[in-house]
Amino acid sequence: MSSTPPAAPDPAAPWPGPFVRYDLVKELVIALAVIAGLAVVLTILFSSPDDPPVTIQSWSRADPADFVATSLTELAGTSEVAEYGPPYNHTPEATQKIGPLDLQSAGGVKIPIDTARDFVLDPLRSIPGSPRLQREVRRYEAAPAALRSAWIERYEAALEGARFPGALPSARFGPVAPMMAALLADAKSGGLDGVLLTGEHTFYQTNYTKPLLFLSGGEYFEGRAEGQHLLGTQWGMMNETGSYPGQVWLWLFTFWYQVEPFLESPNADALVFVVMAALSLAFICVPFIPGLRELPRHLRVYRLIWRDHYREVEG
Amino acid sequence: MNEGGTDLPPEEQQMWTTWVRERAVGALPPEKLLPDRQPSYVSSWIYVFGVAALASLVVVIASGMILGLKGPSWWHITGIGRFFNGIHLWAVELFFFTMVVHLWGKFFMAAWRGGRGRTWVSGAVVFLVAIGAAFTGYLSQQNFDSQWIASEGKDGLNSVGIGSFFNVADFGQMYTFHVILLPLAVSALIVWHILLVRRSGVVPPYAARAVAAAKAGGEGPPP
Amino acid sequence: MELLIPVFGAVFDLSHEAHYVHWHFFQMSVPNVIVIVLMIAVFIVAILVPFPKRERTP
Repeated sequence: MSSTPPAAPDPAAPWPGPFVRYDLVKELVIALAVIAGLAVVLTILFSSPDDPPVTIQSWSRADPADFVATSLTELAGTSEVAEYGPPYNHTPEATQKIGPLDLQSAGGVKIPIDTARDFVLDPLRSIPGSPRLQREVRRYEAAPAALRSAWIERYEAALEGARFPGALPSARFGPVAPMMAALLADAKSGGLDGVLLTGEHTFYQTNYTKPLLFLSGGEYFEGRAEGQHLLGTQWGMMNETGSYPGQVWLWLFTFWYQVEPFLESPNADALVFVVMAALSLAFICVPFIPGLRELPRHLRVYRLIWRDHYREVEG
Repeated sequence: MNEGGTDLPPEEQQMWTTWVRERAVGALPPEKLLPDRQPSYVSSWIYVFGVAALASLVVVIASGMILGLKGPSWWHITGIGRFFNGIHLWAVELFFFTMVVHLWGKFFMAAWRGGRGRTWVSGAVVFLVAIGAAFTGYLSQQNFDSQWIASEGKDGLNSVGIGSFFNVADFGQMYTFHVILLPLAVSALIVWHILLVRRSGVVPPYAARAVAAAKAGGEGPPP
Repeated sequence: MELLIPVFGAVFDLSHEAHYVHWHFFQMSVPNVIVIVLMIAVFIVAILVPFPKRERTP
């Protein structure tokens, strides 16, 4: 074992010496105490955020106009979810592509959602003791598609002028008006939250896909997020509710969404995903990338880290 | 006591157990697995950030286990639950903080030199898997933040066709990933990472100035 | 905003909306800026602050 360090150590060979005593276990125990102590202090100082979730019930009570407007688009099949494409439904030209590559379609329709049936018609059919409502639902389902669209469009136009979307009585809206009134009442009672989650035949459930997709179609939900700076255009991926630090490590992921060509692209999600996958692969492979693996030598920060060693060998 | 496989009778040398043991002990004898000394150049505070990240992970897992003991709704309805949720959140922030400072240090030291490529690779993969573990944690909060992250996150995953396999709106699936699958993956990768560090030792410094200049004038660039 | 229970033991209530730093298209919450600045500062301090000298082993 050498008592003076070599000036040009071979990184692949065992270090010939000298050595210093280094108590790894003691270091770990000290680190545990320090980190645990820091976590406790930070918790006592700041606690953690817990913004209560939005429910269909709270949404329909806080913004009934938005709830009904969203329900109409789900019924009409013109909502974002209805026209999403895989994995929820088959919608031509809806998928995101990476050049000619359509990975979204390759995933297939594995979580089938028919927004008219799942978000409106089935919940209405599940409301007990409502023979008049069930007659209106059957009348809607029996009508030709063009008439259904006409009823919905007229009701949407009337809603924009209305102060409150009660059942605007008019034959021009067909069964759509009483259907929307019943859906709103069911939502306000909390029944819609339940039936979207468990349907009529399940008890246990942990899959919130349907209620969450329904919520995501409304402006109320997005408005809540915008108030907390959580939107994609607000670098939202990095942010947390309130004044807590968020997921700072996602800075590069959210960065791409702010710049062209991703900012305006309909394929932004797929393109950003691929860019980040490529950069992550490059990050993993740094030791094998010529140029990049030599960068630390040129940056010379190592001279500071190992200055004691260089002082000794360079005199 | 036998000191090497060649001292064993032939039928024991052929045993799978013997083979595994001899390879493991050969690669990492006790004094290499838990050394009580380090090379003299290990004399900078930058070297404590690896163990600090490890300590942070231990606190994350311990607080996570307490949260898991009482179930996912506990922290919403009790003060003590909220307290342990805070420990868990801040330990996660400390974990990423120390891990990134450790990563910066290792980059500037070019710690992959001398056959230590796999050490860098395993560390980089830990970082990425930890981001996934944090993502599923945020999804498991059962509050507005988790609702929003699910509704946004689904678009990225759906756009590349994996959103139905990894359904961010399926709380049961995300919670299971977060509590079992990803912590196991992170822990296993970190164990591998640390064993690689113990096997190759901490990377030595670049060649000193005079030697580097001489080499540049003579035989080629320094290592 | 409504919290289900009072914040347990928190000295500072961070439930209010964060302040944001803006520069062209770049925006970041002040808490996130603090975390990043702290990381850089801790890295620099870790490199510059002398490490306690250890006795060489025989």
